[in-house]
Amino acid sequence: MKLLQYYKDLDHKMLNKYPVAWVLGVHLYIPLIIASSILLFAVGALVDLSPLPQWRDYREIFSTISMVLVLPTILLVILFIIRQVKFNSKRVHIRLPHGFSYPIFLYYIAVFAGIIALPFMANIGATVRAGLTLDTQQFKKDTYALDDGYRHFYMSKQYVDSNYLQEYGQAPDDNDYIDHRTTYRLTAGRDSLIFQRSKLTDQYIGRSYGMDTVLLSDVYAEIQSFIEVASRYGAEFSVTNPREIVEINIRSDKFYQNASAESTVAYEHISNSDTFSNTIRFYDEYIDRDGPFFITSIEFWQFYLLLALGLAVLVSVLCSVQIIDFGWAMLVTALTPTVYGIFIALIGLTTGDVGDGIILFFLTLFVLFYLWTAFASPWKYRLKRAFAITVHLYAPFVLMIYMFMLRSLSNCCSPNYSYNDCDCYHVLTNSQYEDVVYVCAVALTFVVQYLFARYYKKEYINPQQ
Amino acid sequence: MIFEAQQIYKKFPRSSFVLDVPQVKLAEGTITGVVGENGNGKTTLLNIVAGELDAEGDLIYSGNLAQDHTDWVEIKKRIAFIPQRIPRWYGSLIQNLKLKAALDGVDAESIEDYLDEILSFLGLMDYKHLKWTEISTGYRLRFELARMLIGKPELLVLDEPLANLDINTQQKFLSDLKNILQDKEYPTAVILSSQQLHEIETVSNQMIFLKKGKAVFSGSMNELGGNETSHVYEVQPEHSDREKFLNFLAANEYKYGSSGEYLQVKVEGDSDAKDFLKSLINEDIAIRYYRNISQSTKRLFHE
Repeated sequence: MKLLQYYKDLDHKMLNKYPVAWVLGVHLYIPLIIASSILLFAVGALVDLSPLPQWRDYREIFSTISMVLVLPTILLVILFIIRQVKFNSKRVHIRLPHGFSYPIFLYYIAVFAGIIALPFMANIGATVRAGLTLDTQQFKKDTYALDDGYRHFYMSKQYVDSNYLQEYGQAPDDNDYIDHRTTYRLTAGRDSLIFQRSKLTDQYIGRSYGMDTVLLSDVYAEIQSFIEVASRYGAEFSVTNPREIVEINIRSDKFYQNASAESTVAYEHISNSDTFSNTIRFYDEYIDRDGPFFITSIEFWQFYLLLALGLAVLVSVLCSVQIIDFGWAMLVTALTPTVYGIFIALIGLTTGDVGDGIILFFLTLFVLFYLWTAFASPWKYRLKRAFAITVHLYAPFVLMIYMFMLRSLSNCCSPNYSYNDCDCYHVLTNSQYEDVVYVCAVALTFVVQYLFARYYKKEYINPQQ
Repeated sequence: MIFEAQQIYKKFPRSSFVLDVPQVKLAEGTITGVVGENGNGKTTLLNIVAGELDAEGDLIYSGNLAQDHTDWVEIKKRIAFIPQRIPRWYGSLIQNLKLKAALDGVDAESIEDYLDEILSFLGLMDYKHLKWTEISTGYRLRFELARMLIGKPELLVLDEPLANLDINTQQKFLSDLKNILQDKEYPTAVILSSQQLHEIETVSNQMIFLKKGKAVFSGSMNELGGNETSHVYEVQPEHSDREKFLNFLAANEYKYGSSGEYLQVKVEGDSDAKDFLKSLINEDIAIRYYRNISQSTKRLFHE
């Protein structure tokens, strides 16, 4: 009750003293976002405090937290938009000096970024914690020993297709997938071991893992090295003598090759294999930006920024124009791709370079038509406004389409393209080019936002034609 | 002069309608009524005066000619425009009023007192904590008026404010307007349009009568019909005596027009309203309604 009264007093004070901040809900949304973020971040970091081996059990918590928070997040976004529209439209934004518009737009980005970050704030907590806890550089170095030595400690039946068996000179089978016992036996000279390697980690270390023939002395070295390294990741061993391990393995393999074993495991010398493999999985997921650590991927943040930016642009427009104009604009915006798609489909040339050229030509015509309608046509002002808003919303997307189509129209190959039939090469790889397109689109969003904020102000303050 | 315009001219594309008003002058402390039939340009004229619609002609607000965007930004701060359909308010009424006051730069410490003063003035104190949906159309209009008064506008533009109000609420609203103009706190000029001729003429200092976009009359109420040698009376005889009344008009060669049950009789010469009424009584014609419209814009509707 005391907290509620405190909030009411604050709300009252904000309304009287800082009306713009009150409309923006600074006193409501900023504390709410910060408090929720800290709480969820802490949850993520604390979950990570559990022993690493239990990682597999805990990692599901993050997806559960995200799922649970999706609806409240959507609700929060909607409530924020409603608040802005309720008090803003043609009342606050239009009346403010132009210098205010941009900070408000940046505030919108910050609020939406804060709100839509909530479902994965726990992931961020876990990631930060993991980043502080895990020595990934050491793990990457240890990967060689772990992957090279793992087969000597664990083998189970594998289900592989017949092509795979053929590749390794084993009998093909009519079935596509068969129950296959992996190989672990001495060569004819008995000085080497022929066995099918198996990776433990998900890390790529520049060598392939398949059938291999290795001198026994090297095998013993691999086993010794694995024991040393794996111990650092919590592995405990039932047998530690390399010679004994190899003997057991060969015996188990023979048994498996000659008998129809019920068990899926031929041999296993790590007594706490679940615990150990969980620990390795934890490192793998962190390095691969997989599982709860997806938030460390650039693609994710690109999408995240785009979403926050898109919502901020939409709300800015919604608060700067009359609702009826916004409604018409949404209609034009929604119909634009459909009309353009029908138009292009009617032309019938949608594939190949010639098709791309024509699509680009008509896209340019469309863009010019929209610009003319919005700013130069003698038509009714509502229609002009609707087209202007559409131009505002679509500008970054049109730029992206142009940039991608222009690249596809040139006959040059990507620089990492390996074939020799290229006349020329692009300066940037496809991935680098996508990043450039993204940056350009984001930059254009900020530029058009600035320009259109001025346009809306003039449009609604100056007398209508 | 708060607002002055010469040669206001507006033509809409693909429309034959033209608004052509030679002059509009709105002085501080005055009310100007704009009347005319529907579709004759009242709303267009008010939109032009309020700066919502562009038109040819020089518009001068408090001595400043409106030319570009910068001018309009400043001018719009001094104009309060209440359209016929008032946009809905969200949240509580007092919250909206506080927001407007804060945005208009009213000192935070004195907002409550300032708003209470305006609300008391308009008799709205008991309703300030209600919401938009909880008050009647009349109160919505008065709250909108209160909101507009917060910024102490120099020019108050009201488009058909009396539409949809009952007769008591109309009187109350017009009385509010009169009070506002008498208050030194609000050095304001008011221009409003309405179909309620009698009510508007009662409070207006000057009238503009629009017919097909042209200002047929523009001036003070005293000027209306002042130079005319004839008088115009609006009469509604009892239904049973209508025939007798028409015979009376024919016998005296009075010119008349009719709109429904009402007849507008033009009487040449010096005889006044009392004389004409007496002659009707002498003829034993039962009268249901009688009004001298010689100095009302109503006579212009029938000319």
